[in-house]
Amino acid sequence: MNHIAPFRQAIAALAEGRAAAALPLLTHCIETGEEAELARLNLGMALLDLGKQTEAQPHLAAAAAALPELAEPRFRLGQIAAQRGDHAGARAQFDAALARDPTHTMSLIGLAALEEQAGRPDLALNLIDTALLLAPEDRAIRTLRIGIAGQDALAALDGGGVQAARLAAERVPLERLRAGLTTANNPWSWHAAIGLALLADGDEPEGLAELRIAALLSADDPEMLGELALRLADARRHAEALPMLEQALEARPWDIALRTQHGASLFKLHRLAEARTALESAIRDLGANIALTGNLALVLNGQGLQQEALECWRDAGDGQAACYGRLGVQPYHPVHGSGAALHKTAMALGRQLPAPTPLHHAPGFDPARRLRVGFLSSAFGRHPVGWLTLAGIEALPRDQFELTCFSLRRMDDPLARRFRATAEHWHDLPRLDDAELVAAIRAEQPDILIDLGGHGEGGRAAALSRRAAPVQIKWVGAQSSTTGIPAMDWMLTDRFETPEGSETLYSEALLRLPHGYVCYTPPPWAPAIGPLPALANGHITFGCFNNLAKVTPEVLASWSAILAAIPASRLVLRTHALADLATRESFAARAATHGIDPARLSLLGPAPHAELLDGYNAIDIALDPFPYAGGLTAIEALFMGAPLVAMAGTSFAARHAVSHLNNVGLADWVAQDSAGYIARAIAAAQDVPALASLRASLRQRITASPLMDAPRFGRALADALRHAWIKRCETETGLQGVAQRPSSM
Amino acid sequence: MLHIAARQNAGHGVIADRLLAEGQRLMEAGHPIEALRLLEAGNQAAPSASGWRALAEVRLDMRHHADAKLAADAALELEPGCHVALTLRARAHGMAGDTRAALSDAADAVHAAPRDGAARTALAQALLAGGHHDEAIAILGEVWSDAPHEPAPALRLADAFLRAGHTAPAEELITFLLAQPELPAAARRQAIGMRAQAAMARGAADEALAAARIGLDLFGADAGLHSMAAHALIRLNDMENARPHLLAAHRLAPQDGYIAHLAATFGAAQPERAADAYVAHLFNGYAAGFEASLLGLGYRAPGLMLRALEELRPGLSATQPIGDVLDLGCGTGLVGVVLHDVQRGRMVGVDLSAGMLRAAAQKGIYSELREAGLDTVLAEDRSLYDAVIAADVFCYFGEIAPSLAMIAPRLAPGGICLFTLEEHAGPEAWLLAGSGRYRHSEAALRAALAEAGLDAVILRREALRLEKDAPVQGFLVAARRAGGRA
Repeated sequence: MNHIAPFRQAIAALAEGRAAAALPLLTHCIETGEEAELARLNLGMALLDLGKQTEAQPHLAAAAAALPELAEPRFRLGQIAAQRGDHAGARAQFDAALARDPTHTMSLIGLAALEEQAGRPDLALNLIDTALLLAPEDRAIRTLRIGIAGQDALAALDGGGVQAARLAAERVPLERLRAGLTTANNPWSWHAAIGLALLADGDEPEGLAELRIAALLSADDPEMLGELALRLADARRHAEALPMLEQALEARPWDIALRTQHGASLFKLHRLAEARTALESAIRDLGANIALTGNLALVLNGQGLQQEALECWRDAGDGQAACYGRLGVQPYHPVHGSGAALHKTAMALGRQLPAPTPLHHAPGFDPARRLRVGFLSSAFGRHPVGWLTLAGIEALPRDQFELTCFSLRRMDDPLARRFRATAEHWHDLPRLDDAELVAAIRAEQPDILIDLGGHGEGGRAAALSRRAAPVQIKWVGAQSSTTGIPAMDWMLTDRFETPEGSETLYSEALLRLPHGYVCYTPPPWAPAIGPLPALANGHITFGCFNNLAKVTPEVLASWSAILAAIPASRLVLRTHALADLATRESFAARAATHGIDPARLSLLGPAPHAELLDGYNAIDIALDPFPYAGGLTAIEALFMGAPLVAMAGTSFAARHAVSHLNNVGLADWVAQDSAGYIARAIAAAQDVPALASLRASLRQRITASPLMDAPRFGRALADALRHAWIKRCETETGLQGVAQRPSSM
Repeated sequence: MLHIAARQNAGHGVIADRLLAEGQRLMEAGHPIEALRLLEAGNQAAPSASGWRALAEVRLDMRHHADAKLAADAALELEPGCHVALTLRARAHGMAGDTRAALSDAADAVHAAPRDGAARTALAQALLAGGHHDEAIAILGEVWSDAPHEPAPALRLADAFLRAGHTAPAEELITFLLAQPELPAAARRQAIGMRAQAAMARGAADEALAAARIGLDLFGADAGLHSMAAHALIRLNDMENARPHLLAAHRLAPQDGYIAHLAATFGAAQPERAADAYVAHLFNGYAAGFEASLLGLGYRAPGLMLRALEELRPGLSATQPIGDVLDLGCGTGLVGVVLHDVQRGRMVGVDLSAGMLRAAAQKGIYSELREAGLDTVLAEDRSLYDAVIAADVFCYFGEIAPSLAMIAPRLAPGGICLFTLEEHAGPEAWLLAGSGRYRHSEAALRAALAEAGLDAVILRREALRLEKDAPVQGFLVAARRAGGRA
């Protein structure tokens, strides 16, 4: 029998850092009236320690009312308000706390942070100096002062801590950090500073190594471990980052950056249901912010919940971040993914981007000379961008064009090496901000810059609003709609992607290639095409290997109608998200609400590429999703002998398959609406001999088509680039100073 | 460097262990740079034999052979006779071109652990580098037969066969390897490269080209395969198609001096002289058959050197010999051979190729042989010579004046500088010919001599060698320091 009063037990638990253990004891005290007011205050503080701000808030508010003489509840409420961006509310609470206790140091610091954010560093420093009179030994306050005052960051470094390391990495030259290490009082923060400085210089492996040393020497200090995890995640090493994030979060559940990355890393590891839970609970506990919202939207979209994904941004206004975030999910939406709706969002983004800075192009504007063409991408390698551009780039006539690759991410695979082997100049760019990136590209003086990233992940198209080259062209790489960027001069396209009349949907002029807008490189490991599976199975098997994000309710309804019309037929889906059990189950349930019998579905996770391609040897007819069509996936289906039923939409993303099917001579597989889509699939399924003969000829057909005719594509691309250049030269010489949007080609 | 305030702290061992464990994990995960830094830190915190060995291993992986040797030394100091550390040090020696030391360490390692595959492999590699092909093949064959389905031993054995000139068994082994469906991609790429190499070795350039193309189709781009395709096309006299392969190889391996030089001959920016790596590689590969091929090519330079000396030193003979001689680019020692009867004193040979120097050493003529670039030796050497000879050497240089200027101060009073130079008749001072050699104009030659402070006492045209059955024209030059006396 324990005779110590629950309240004392709770206080003891809190003092030992066992906040979770204190919760039931404090709740018990509130219920029984034992020190109820103080228990409520401590309950609020314990919940804050556990990262549960939202839950803590009412307890703290009640404690503030019940204990009007205390500063602490006011301060805590101010902290919550500050984190949620309510600066006026935070200021009121900190002032109230200081009115009750003028020596409440942390409230002074809270106010100082608000003053600094408001651009009043002098006021912030006065507050900090007052705080330092009260707590002269406090390391964190000293570091804060150095950060604001711009003083010698080395002084802070000897006090230790990650924040001090960040300051030192920013302000102290690397050599001085290295030299100081031998006499350092607190070597782990020095290693951290060196690591962060190296990372800022783009030296990823050395930088990460120093951070690892720092983490080990710090005996796994949670903040240090968290920093390392964030940097590993930056380097796309999510499997390594995840356990570190989880360990760091045990001590820092209120750290919003770690909570965000935890969700994001789970997403990157295709653990979608867990990612969703992590992000939703972070939003519930700490309030929403752009990063949490953006990641949650991507996760929901990845689960095939397009409406829920777009709704994440409903109350976020029309600022840059919100527009950017919407563009990540909107192209998948059955209604808001239209060309016109995407144009509206992209233009709203484009209007907020910085205008171009003056560009003096020293090489000049001779329309006939050999041109330096730059490509900007984080995906020079095994990635849809690689499979769809490499062969065409290799085929550009070199007496006319000199190629420069600006690579945002190092890749090493067969495609990556081919890119390296073909480009005359190669630049591995470190992490740069927009202005630095544009300066780095300008330094190489490309005549034409082709963007291969758009507004997608790793894409830097927005930076090009400042203009990095006299001619800027958008090509593959999150090419789902117009970019809305005024300085993006052209969209590289074809007459199927953007038929006459599409001009109004694009801020860019349309640079139309005569056939397809991409050139496909098939992988050498692609298996041979087998006989039509239906001949052995006795039933038709439909398949879709696209991202679940593309499978909308309308798509499910269409598939349901097709399956209902073709007895015994089956549908095979294969994609990353389906490896996640909870996502797979909820998807199956969703399909069932559309009348699809789960027994007729095969829901498969990812497979190595050769195996994935071989999967088409079990598919009679591929069903393309809409409005976001398959790009590389559509081509792979055709290359593997599976004809594809597709639906034409209005956005760029909605017409990928339209272009590919037209280019292999299968225009009659393109439907204009869902009724046509259903009818086309049913008709195809009912003519097994025709399917068998089409399958037998499809590899040969696509190989001979413009989609894979690299020399022809190279010539067409050369003509298009030359056209864009000549147009630019004309504005330079004929209409000097008159900026004019070129007309489409 | 890692700093820990209290080195006696018992916690060090724990931290060092974690650093080492993490370093080893990172190495296995393919992050050698991160691994290296953690292993260094771990060893600094608490040095241990296992830590030094891990460090040696990762440094070898990164081809930092000098540092790898130091780490292996440190490991052996803590655990003398450890066969793992000996094997690592043998590999480091081998990478540095020190065959003798590699043999010694590898032999000790095998003595300590006779069945250890890594030790036996290191011994075989050292034997191979020393030209003891048959012994190497015997050992590699044993290692392979212990694990016939592992690709690495098979690839090493095939490589040894190729280097020994046994093309048929090499090809048989490669065919066996390539027939394994589970062969990892990297091994398959290497095997295909060897298949091309073997075809080249037996003169089947078309087969070599086909193999290289298959490899390129399968693996995208690869510097070795592109280079192989280029060589095959050059052999097939298809320079136009060779060019893009060479440029691709150069872009993929810009650090490879050999490829850079060849790419330059095909229109990439021309370097001022052939990269040392090109020269070393060229001659290491050909050392064994070098003399035969030179004689077959009608190589006359050594004989011309002797004739020029006889002209300038009437009565030159065993009783009136020439004194100290510096033979720059001595190769297998042909100049030493022709001067043997008429020279007394130091005979110093210098070459970039370890393989060449071994052949020269076997002649027992040279008093001293140095594996170094000629500029390095001329900068370091403070002695004076009665003759400084560069037979068929300046064909690897565009700018020759700087080297000539370094030769001049090395000439003893009355000393002679002797060299050959291939000629071209155009207006350029020098150009890089398709053969990968530089050719110089007479005007440029005279200007270079003047700039170097040398007076030509002989400067005449000679046929220097045969290329595609046609004589290559050039100059035979003998010069003294300007203002010097005979």
